[in-house]
Amino acid sequence: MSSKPDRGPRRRAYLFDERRESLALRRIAEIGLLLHGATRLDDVLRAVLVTATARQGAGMNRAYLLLGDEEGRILRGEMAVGPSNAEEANQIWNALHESGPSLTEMAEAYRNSVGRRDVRANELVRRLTVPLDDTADILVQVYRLGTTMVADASSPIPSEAQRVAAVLGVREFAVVPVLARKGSLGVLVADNLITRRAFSKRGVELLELLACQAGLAIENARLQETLAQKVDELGRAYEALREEQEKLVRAERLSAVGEMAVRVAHEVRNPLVSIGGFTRRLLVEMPEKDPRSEYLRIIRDEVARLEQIVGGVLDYVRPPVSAVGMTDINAVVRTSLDLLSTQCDQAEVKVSLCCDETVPFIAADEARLRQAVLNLCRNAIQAMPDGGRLEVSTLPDRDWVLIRIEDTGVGIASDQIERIFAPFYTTRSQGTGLGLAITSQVVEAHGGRVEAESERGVGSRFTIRLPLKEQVS
Amino acid sequence: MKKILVVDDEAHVRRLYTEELKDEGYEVVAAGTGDEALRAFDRERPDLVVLDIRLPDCDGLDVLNEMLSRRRDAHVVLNSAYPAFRADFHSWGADAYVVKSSDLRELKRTIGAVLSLEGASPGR
Ligand SMILES: Nc1ncnc2c1ncn2[C@@H]1O[C@H](COP(=O)(O)OP(=O)(O)O)[C@@H](O)[C@H]1O
Ligand SMILES: [Mg+2]
Repeated sequence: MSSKPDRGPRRRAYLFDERRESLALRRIAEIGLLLHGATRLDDVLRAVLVTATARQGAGMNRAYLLLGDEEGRILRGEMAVGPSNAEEANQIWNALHESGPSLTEMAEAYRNSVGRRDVRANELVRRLTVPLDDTADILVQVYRLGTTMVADASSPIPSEAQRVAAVLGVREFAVVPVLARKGSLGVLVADNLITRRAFSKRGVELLELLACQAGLAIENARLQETLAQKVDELGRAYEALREEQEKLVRAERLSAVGEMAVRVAHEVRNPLVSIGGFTRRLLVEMPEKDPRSEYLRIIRDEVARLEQIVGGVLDYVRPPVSAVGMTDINAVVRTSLDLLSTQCDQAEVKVSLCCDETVPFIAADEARLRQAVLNLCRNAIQAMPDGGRLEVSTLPDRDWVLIRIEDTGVGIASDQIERIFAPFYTTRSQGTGLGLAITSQVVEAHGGRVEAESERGVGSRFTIRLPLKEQVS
Repeated sequence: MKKILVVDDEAHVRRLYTEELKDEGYEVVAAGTGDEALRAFDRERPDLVVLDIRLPDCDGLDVLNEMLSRRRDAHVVLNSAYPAFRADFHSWGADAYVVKSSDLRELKRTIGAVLSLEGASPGR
């Protein structure tokens, strides 16, 4: 800038313009910087619009942003900045003028002075919304062609500009495309409602630059969104994989350790029968008062205890005598309960059975399935040491058959419910922790799953969910 | 005197069962494999068979099937370590199922019941 006083006013105006332009360019560069920060898309777009309207920027009165929707059907008014009358305009412009030179300071000043006053502009921008097949409209033309159009006051309003002119209440306005690598994203519209100043070529070029920044910002944000989505998908896929793997590990552990336990139990069972059996024979022959009979009674009782433990393990398994046939689920449930009737009576557990007779037969290994149901019923009874209610029901559920076992027992703590299916997880002193593990293994072999719900002190509900059409593995 | 065939792969268990059942007044023969069991079954024509399901040379259930096909009215009490089988013995055609235990009272009770159903009381 020159300080020489002899330069004419024309020259000075030119200088002023130049200075304004360089400031505007700085704003644009700042927007570029914003793009690289973690700024929200909304903030960047608002900064673009503020720069378009700031005197230090492109100097337009009002600016509107419209974006094409994803399906390419509509150009929708998204956001606008601008005063609704001269008084408001002065307030805003003064605030901006006094603000610091940085964009952030400017945007801040704008927000403070405007508050919620640019409602009118935002209402207008919504009314600018136009379907993208309305090719006679100037906004659609700019969007489709990707070139700037200016309606100026010197000529009669062309037909394609009439709608926009009517909405905005001005004869003069500029429409520039918001471009990205893959084509148009939307349009930026600006008018000079308050000052009624004509658009300069430079001003329109600045608008184009701003629109370009907006395009980048939007593209950036969409890429980030896609990326976030992909990361999310990946996360879910990973989660699913981990679950599968956990299931595998569980099954593996069960078949390795569980089979081992079962084999040991089986091997130990026979020697225990001999040890305990012969001890009993000795006891019968021993005179009552012989002090050695005390030793024999200890052996007999310890053997009985061991047999109980071993029996507990074997209780849950059935050597693989597998036979798949068309199976009546209701019959499976009924026999299971028959087998437990003495246990229920002893524990003062009331049993109610509710079979849905429309449940179809399914291809299944009846004995293994009965074992699964038995295990769940046994757990339910054990959860009600002081008596209660055991409700067993069957019901069809679209492509599934459900077997539901509900009790009014002690329930399961919510932080434990994930663990109960793990082999050897048990909270009972006589427990083996194999019941649920084997149950879910059997049910999964039928293509189904076991679901557990429970509330501490209220009761538990286990649901076996079996698919109607599934080959048993 | 009623004759009982005890089939179990473990010698000590066979001996225990034999002695205990003899004390109950039965005549007892024992076999350790499926093959032996079937030969004894034909030769001795026992009134009742106590059969373990797991045998070294074959599945006890095959032995059961074979016996029933040779004599439809044969009485068989299954005896094994697996409580889960309790639910199945009927469909297999056995008369009863008793879980193996060092306490033989339940086995003896069951044998007595099966044989008395046949119309004869266990000898003593
Ligand atoms: N119906 C139920 N009510 C309350 N707790 C249950 C129920 N079913 C299972 N559980 C819990 O899950 C554990 C594991 O059950 P399970 O695998 O059958 O092994 P076990 O019965 O030998 O303990 C039990 O020890 C118990 O804590
Ligand atoms: Mg259990």
